[in-house]
Amino acid sequence: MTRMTARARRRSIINTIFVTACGLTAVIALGALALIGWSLLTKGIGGINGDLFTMSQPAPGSRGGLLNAITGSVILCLLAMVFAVVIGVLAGTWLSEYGGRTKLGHVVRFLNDVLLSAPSILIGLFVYELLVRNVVGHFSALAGSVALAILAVPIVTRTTEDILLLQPAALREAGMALGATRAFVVRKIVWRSAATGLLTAGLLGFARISGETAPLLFTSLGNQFFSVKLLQPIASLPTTIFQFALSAYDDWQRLAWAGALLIAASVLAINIAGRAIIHGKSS
Amino acid sequence: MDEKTGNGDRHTVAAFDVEMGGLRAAVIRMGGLAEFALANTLAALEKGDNVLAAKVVEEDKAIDAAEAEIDQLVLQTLVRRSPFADDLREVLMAHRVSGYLERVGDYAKGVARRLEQVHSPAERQAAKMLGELGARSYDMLVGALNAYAARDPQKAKQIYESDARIDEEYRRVFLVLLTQMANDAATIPVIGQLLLAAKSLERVGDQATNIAEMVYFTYTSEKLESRHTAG
Amino acid sequence: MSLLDSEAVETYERSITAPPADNLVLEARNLDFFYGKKQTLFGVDLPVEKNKITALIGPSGCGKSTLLRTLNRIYELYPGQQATGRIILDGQDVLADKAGIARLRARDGDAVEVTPNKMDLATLRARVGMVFQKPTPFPMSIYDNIAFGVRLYKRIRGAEMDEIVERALRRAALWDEVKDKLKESGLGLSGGQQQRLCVARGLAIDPEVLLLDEPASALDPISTAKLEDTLNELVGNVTIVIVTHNLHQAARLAQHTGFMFLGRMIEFGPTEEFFSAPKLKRTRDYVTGRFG
Repeated sequence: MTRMTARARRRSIINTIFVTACGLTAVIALGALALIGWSLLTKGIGGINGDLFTMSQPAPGSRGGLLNAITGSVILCLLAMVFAVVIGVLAGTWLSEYGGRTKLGHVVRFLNDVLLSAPSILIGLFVYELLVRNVVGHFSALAGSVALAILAVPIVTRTTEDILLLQPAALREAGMALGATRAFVVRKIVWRSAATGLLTAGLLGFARISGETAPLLFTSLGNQFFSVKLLQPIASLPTTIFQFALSAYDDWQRLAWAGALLIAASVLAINIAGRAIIHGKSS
Repeated sequence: MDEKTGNGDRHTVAAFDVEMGGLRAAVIRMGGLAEFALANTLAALEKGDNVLAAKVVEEDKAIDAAEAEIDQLVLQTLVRRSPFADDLREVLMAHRVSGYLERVGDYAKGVARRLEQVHSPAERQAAKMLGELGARSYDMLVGALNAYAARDPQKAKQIYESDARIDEEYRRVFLVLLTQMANDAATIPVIGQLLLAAKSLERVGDQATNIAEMVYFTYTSEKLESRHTAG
Repeated sequence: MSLLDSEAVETYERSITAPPADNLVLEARNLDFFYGKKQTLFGVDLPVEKNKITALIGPSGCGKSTLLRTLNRIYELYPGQQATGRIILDGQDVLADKAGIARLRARDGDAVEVTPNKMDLATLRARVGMVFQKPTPFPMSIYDNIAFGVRLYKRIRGAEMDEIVERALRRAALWDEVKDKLKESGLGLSGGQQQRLCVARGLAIDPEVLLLDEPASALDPISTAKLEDTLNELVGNVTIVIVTHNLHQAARLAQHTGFMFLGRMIEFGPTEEFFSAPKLKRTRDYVTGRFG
């Protein structure tokens, strides 16, 4: 009897140690997150005002905002996501529904996974060589979007394939048993059934690219003026933050923090919105 | 081993085999009780033993109880197992055979009752004439129950076909008794009872035939041709 | 001799009591099936009488689902699966495309009888419908679920389509339960209702034959009873082939029953005889629970 109690006691001690360790690490992780959030909030909130959203990048010392950068980021991300979703969903669908088990399918999947972890600066360099030095001739928003798209495609592809593979085989069989072609079944049944998953794929792709800076430095470069021309360089929040944070000017630094806060807030908002939509659809 | 009867194969659910075994054992037990009752009646007939006759009447209750027990087992097996094919046929057979055996018991009781009214030596002598008929019916019953126990449709068929011997003996006894009644009007009441007793013994033969028919059908899915002639 | 002795199965005994030949709507003859290099059906014959229910029973892995899935060629979704033999639907051989004829000739010799096939897959599947084991409502409204199949073949709208949807739902004994919520998603129905929705969906295109693969195995007893009732009502208007592992369901529903074992059709015949006095020992062993 006493041996059992001793063992039980030892077990409970080990249990307590383990639980404490888990708790501590959780605190550390959350603490780091809280610290980042706190710095963003305290340092950035000062710069949030009407001018931020209505005026473009100022010369040091004068009034200004981040309108050009915000607009630029929106254009770059939107265009990039359009490319990425179209290519990614179609590629993922091909892998899941058609050629996934063939030799070619295995090769494609492998290359996709390689691209998934490719350093973004390499992608930027590639697009620089392709679109900046050659096709267009100079830095452009288009090049920036393409670079971001290349970064997002592997995620969208992978997630799409995974989500489509989760759809029960019987669903496809049921559609085809009525006489529909495979393509019809995929479009009208499988995609619809996987809709929330596909939305997740898009969100994950967006999350990947929303803060990317390095590739943009080689492709869209940056623009101190407001511009929506695709074939011209364009500003973006990450590149502007980069430029301002390294500068010596106080007001530029304040704008940089405000921009950082904006990025964090918008990514958070989009994630929350995405989850809300998913929950809404599933209930 | 017969392809169709397939004894020796066990059910995946062991309890099923136990229940079927129990049912079969109950029928064989009841058959034993019926055989015993008939044997005792015939002994009472031979020896003029009214005490033995009274015992047969008393012990008919056990036969009725056995039938009720088999009814219960049949119901249970049907509910629990929802049997198919030969299992189903065996259960139905058990149910019907128990009915036939219950009637055999009743007939034995009936004959015993009538014997209690036989007193004078002359009457006892007349009663002994039923001995041969009784023996033949008894043999048929035993034969039919053996066929059941052995799951042997061929044996059953043999029993079925020996039905004619009972009819033959019954008609002979009937004529003899009738002649006696015609000769001596005073004997009519008792001879009347003996005639009814003879009919009962003939009916025992019928029940044995039914049992044999049932056994044959259960194991061959075929019906035996009816060989009954009016009598 | 062990029942699972495959050597014994090679020289297996069989007994096929087919319904009269001019009453057959669908017939599989000498059908082999291959899953890659592995053969899973061996010379299977299946006569299906028109407007009756035919049940396929047998232990797991016996090939009854495989056989069912050859009848509407749904196995072709998966590469490497192949059927060789003849499946006659109303005089046309469903398997007689070029490759199928070549395989048939390779197996049976050039003199083998070949009935050419003018049916494409879509037409075949319009005439031979299927309901699966797990209810598979499409992610759309109940109305659209039913209309889906119809819209593949015809341009019908408005009141005409409403009528078709109603008729299909009535035939599946589901109309009363959903008539007020046709625009709601099919996914919101209970399991039993979803399965009847799948039946209605299959019926909407007016098939000659409806194939059901263990349709009640995911349902509770009451839903099962309702589904069986539905199938009983359909007899006489549609031919039904049902695969089931539930012997009593086959005994209740089917007019003809086939017992399969290790990819072979062992016994086939009228259901009552089948379950009261089966002709072969293997059948009787399976049906009375003496298997393995």
